Amino acid sequence: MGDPNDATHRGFPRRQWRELVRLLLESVAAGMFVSLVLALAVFIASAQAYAAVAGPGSHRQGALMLQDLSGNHEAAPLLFTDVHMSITGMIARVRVQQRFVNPAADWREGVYLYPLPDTAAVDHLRMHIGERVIEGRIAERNDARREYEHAKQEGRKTTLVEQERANLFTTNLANIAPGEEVIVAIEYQQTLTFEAGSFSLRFPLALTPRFVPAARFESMAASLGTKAMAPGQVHDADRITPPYTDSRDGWVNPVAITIELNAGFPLSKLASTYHAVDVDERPGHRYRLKLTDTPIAAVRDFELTWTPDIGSLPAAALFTETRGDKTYALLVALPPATSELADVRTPREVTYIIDTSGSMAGVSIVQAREALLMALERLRPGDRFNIIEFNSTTTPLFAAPVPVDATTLRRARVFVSGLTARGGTEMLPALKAALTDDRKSDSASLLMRQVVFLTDGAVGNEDEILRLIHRRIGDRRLFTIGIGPAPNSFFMSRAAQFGRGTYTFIGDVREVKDKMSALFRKLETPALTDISVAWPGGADVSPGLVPDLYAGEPLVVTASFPTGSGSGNVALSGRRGDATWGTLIPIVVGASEPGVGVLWARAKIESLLDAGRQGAPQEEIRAAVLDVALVHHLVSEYTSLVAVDVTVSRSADTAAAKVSLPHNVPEGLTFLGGMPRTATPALLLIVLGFSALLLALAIAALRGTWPRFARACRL
Amino acid sequence: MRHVVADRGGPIGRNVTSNRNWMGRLRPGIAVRAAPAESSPIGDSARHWTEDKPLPRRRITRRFAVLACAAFLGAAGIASVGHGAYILAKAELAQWLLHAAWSRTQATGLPAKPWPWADTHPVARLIAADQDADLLVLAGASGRTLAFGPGHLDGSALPGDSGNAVLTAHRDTHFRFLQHVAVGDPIAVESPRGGRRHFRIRELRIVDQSALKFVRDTRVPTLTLVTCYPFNAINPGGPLRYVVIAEAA
Repeated sequence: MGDPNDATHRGFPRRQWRELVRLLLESVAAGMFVSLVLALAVFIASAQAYAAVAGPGSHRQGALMLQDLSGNHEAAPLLFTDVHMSITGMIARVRVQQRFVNPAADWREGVYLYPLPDTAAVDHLRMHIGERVIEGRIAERNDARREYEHAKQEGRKTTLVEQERANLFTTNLANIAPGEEVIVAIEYQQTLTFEAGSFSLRFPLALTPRFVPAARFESMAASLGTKAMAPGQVHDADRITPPYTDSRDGWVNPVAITIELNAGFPLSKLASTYHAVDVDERPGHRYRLKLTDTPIAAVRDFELTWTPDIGSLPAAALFTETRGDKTYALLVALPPATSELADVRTPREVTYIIDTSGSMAGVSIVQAREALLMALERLRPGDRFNIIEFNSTTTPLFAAPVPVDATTLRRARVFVSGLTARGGTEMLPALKAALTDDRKSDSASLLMRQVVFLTDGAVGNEDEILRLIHRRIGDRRLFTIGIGPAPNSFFMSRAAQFGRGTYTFIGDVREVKDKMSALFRKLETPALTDISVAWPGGADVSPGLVPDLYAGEPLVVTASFPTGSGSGNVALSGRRGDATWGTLIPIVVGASEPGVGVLWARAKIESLLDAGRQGAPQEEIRAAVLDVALVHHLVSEYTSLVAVDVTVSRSADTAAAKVSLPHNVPEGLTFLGGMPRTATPALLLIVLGFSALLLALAIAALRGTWPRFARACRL
Repeated sequence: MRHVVADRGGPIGRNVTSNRNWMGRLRPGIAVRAAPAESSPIGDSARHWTEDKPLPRRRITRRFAVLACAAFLGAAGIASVGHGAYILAKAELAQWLLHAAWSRTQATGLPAKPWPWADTHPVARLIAADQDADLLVLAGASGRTLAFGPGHLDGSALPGDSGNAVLTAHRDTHFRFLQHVAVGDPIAVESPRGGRRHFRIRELRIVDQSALKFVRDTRVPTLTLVTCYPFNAINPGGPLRYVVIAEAA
């Protein structure tokens, strides 16, 4: 400001300048004040208009949910889950306590849909009401359902555990009094996964919403048409799609997990993959683990892995359980490692199928892209490949598999980088496209044909897809890669089994590299094929058809035979490349290992159902499954566990509302996310602008009037 | 600049008013004349006024404040109206560019960007013939895409496919027509492959935003159109949503 030679400055005394600045500030402040007052006036006016329009009219309105599938608008019972696992050898016995608390002032019936591990054999149900414990009993599914409904009508407390899918169960609990707490405890047993020298156990804690194709839905809705729906709501009550909470409102269903691990041999590594755990080591290679931050939010699956010290694991192990006139056996055998022949690389024809449906939105699609780009890296000249993308529609990159070269790879990378997730999950057309037989018989026949399938498996028509894989697989191998925080692992492991490949689960984008490398080792080394298990003395062996084994995988079979008859050796044999492999394992019926019988029964039911998927008549399958499930007290597609209180607690004149318990949205998934604002400020801006202009005009017009008016007032 | 300020603070009076327009702004001729500093007649006159014949101070202050106020309001008003008009014009204009991109998409079968720097592309065309509405739906329902057209919520089914397609748009631009639709009205959706699917409105609903949840998989192909409610509210941030559910006919 201060140039001393400035004539203007010198001409202006300091007081004048101060005056001027004050004047400016005053005018700006006055302008702002007027604008604010105006804005306020407009807002008040609009809010009033708004209240007037929002009043009762021709539309239904209010905080009624547009749709959360169950018609939930009553407060759901609160749920606290307590999981206790005890692991011995190859078997895990797990107790899941679901504590239901009714926070409402009226009676409730809670329905909770939850995932369990794929091989879970649920064989126990207890209902704890205060001090009393009521044991559940097994019954045919419809009988159990009738018994439950009847007890519910009478006002007794009752609980029913049903199986919706191999890895998806429902607990129904009727007549929970206001403020009351009821514990439903279920127990199941499962075999552990052993792969590449490590054991692992996965406990699913989240449920990725599944896509149910239209045609399938119709029949399901018809068969399950008992659900009461408020009039006017979308009638899509679907048993395998639970309601979800809005992640912005915090999470529900806290879970605590404790584990007793009796490893039986020294461990070189023990770790939980996605959650922090506290480990307490005890003598005799026993470990006690619990989650560090208890309870946790059920938003992603729990996985525990442990690795025995090298050499401490026997090549084969046999566990038996004798129950009356039947003896059950579990055989675990580790075929020797691949020979040096594995270095010879067979050219491959690989078709990658990638799921870009809406349920993959968020972290899943990022993992999938990452994994696919890695897979492209591993292709070598001489290989052929193709990529098929699918959501509601199927989009192949090339019409047929093409040879690997710089151009095709570049196109593939561009294609993969541009993948985004939206739309439905129409899996069948994509698999059909990948499994069409258009090969030229001569040159291509030397290729090892593989299909690598990346998906979260969020489908409801599993059986239909499995049937297709079974029919069309030919000499191909199908490898499934489960993506995201909570994929449908039952479906994917089963698809891999039908396709004689393997299932890999990638739960975190940081794991992509390790897990994909492990998978590539499998893809590139020959598998042990044509495996046969010869058990002496007419034993019933499950699974009947042993899947191919890849490097580091053990052979796991169960058998049942009349007590005392099974003696001699089990003969195992198979082929790896051109070489044959065989071994004899003596049958020694040792100390009874509890739980082996249940494992056999579960494996038996699964192979019966597989036979059904491959075309055996449903009625026969059903009868056979009922035979096994009822004897072994197992929940299955055709049997449920039900427990009924002897005393009547709810009087007939009060009602109990049926409410589905909500789930958390699996971590990182975005498709259930929020909505944008659906109005622009255009109108507000225009109204404000015109008001300001009008006012400015008024002021300018009345400019001369004011001083005169002020003078007049003073006079 | 300083000269102009000095000028404003100085001879505001009967003798100079003729050099100003109605908003108190200098006419161009005066501004040019005020530029040379040394011989500025304004500087001289200012000294003259302040030293010899001080003005009644309160009068100047009032006058100046009133004029500044009017100028400020006028400028803010023009800017505000301009911005509002720009939002509406952009929404209208973008649809023209989108139609061009849509014909490219239909010709090639590949997503086409409507303008080179766009981060979205049209995924479907929504036609409500009764309402004279012909809109191109953009991928993604973010505030950015909604400025140009209705947005398709990622993760919902694609319009016309089985499942529930959720489309949102502003109530005062693209989905303004929704206030006139009634149950039973037809709506058509054109897919990138050119096929049209016809829908009929099954339900109209007003819900609170916090209670808004969508069915992911519906029996029949379904369109769920969401916009703000009420339609003529001035305040853009209201909690209510107007939901139109249409099912494949």
